[in-house]
Amino acid sequence: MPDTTPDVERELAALDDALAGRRVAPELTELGELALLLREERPEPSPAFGVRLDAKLAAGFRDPEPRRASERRWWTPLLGAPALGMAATVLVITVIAVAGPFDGADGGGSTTDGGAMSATEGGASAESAGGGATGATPGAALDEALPEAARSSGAEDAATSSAESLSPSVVPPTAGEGSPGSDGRERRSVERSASLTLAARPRDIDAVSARIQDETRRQGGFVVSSTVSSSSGGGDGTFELRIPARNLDAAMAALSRLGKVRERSQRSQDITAAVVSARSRLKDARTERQSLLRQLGEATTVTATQAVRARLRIVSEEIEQARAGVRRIGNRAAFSSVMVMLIADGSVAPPVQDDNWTPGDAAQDALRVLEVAAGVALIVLAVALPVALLAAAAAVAARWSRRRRREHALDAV
Amino acid sequence: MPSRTSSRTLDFEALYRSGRDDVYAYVATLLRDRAAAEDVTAAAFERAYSKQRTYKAGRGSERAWLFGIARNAALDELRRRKRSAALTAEPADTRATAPEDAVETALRRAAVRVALAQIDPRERELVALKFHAGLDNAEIAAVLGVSVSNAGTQLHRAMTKLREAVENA
Repeated sequence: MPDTTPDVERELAALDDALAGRRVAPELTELGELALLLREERPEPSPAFGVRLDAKLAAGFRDPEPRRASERRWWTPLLGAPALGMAATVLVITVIAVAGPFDGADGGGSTTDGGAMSATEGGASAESAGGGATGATPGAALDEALPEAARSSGAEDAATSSAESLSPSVVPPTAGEGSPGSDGRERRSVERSASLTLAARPRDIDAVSARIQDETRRQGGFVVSSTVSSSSGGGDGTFELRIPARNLDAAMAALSRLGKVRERSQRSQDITAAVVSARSRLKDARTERQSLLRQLGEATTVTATQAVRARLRIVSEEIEQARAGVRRIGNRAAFSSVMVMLIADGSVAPPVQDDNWTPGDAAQDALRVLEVAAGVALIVLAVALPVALLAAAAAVAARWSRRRRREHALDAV
Repeated sequence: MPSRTSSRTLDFEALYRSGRDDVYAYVATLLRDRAAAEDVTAAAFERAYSKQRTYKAGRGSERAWLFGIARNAALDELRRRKRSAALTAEPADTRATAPEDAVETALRRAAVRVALAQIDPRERELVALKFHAGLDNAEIAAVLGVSVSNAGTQLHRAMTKLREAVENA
């Protein structure tokens, strides 16, 4: 910082004295006169300019002259870009954050604090759905455990008559070959199956198990077998379900809401060929029985009659077997197999009750909203802070550069 | 007497009344173009009017704030002229020496005018702020963004050069 010497200060003071009309030291008279001359050389605005500017002031400078194009800064329109970008980022993050926590969310279900318990409920569950199934193979279990409602729906008769209406000469396509309609069938039989792994809090294992069975019945299905074990520190469950194929999607969606979905898969297989084959066997057996009945009516000897009767017994058994086969294959298409694995996980959020929304639920919801809001705020901060720092640095740099250019303009005069 | 706080309201009209001619004189001296000086003076007051809420008393006097805006406007005009390469010659002084002026005074005025045109633009700006705009050294320092002692030193240097130029004129 330059320090002024006494002489400099004296001369500067002489300038101020001269301008103020005060007496100046004799040796600085010339300097004082120069100051007064300089002041007299002061440019004065024209009266017309003064009037124009006064009028602008009176109008509040409401209609300033438009800025010249050359004075407009090329980067001015870009100033709004960061704000727009930030707004879009916040919007996207908010949507993701709000939608995310409820994906595969915990469905309803009352919490049951069960003690140590182990149970196998296959038979009981299946029985409650219309038939026992424990210990049977899945196919046989389905055939035998099929609810009466399904049995009495006329599916068998329809299947049988449908099979008889089919032309035996039609050869079903081999799996994986041809287009869906290449064998001339408009309606195809598809077997669908699914598996689902759900996680729930250890204390909710029993409640979720009960809700799985309730949901299965609500969808018109039944539990083939189930195994549930729970304790205060953990537990698990396995459920083999049969769900009407038409309700499979709805059932999977409903079951997925009962816990945190860890794994979910669905599979479908075209079994049209198997269906046609089973129906053909039944038709062939029936045709043979009719032929045997005609032969029995025409038999004249005891030996011939006995021989035809023996063959009739065999064919009747074949018809029963073929009929069961048609029923089984039909059930494979009508009912989907669903395997549900239930595992305990203490980190899973508590389920929300569908029916009773209590103050506790409200508090949990509020907490959740706060968590989401805090997360969004954190992410926004993480994005906004560097952007703000960059913007501040850019602003400082732009200001410094503008100032420098201005000063340079003065040098270039 | 109201205290000088950052929230003090700026009396823009009073500032305009007291500073209009001073701003014009400063800008005209800096640009050496009276027509451009009128445009720049008007632009400076428009800017000041729109930015009057940003005035902070703690950063300096109202006049220093106003002259800071006027200085930026004048420098922008100089930059624009440089870009457009359309330097405007200073028109003849309409206040040319009046017939009744004494010859000696007329000669000295002419010498001062010539000397003013010869010195460095930065030094001419200091002269304009001091003698044409009537700012004190503290206000000059605030306008230029330097310390008061630095402003005084620069002013003294400018006066020395001006005196030499007048003697040689």
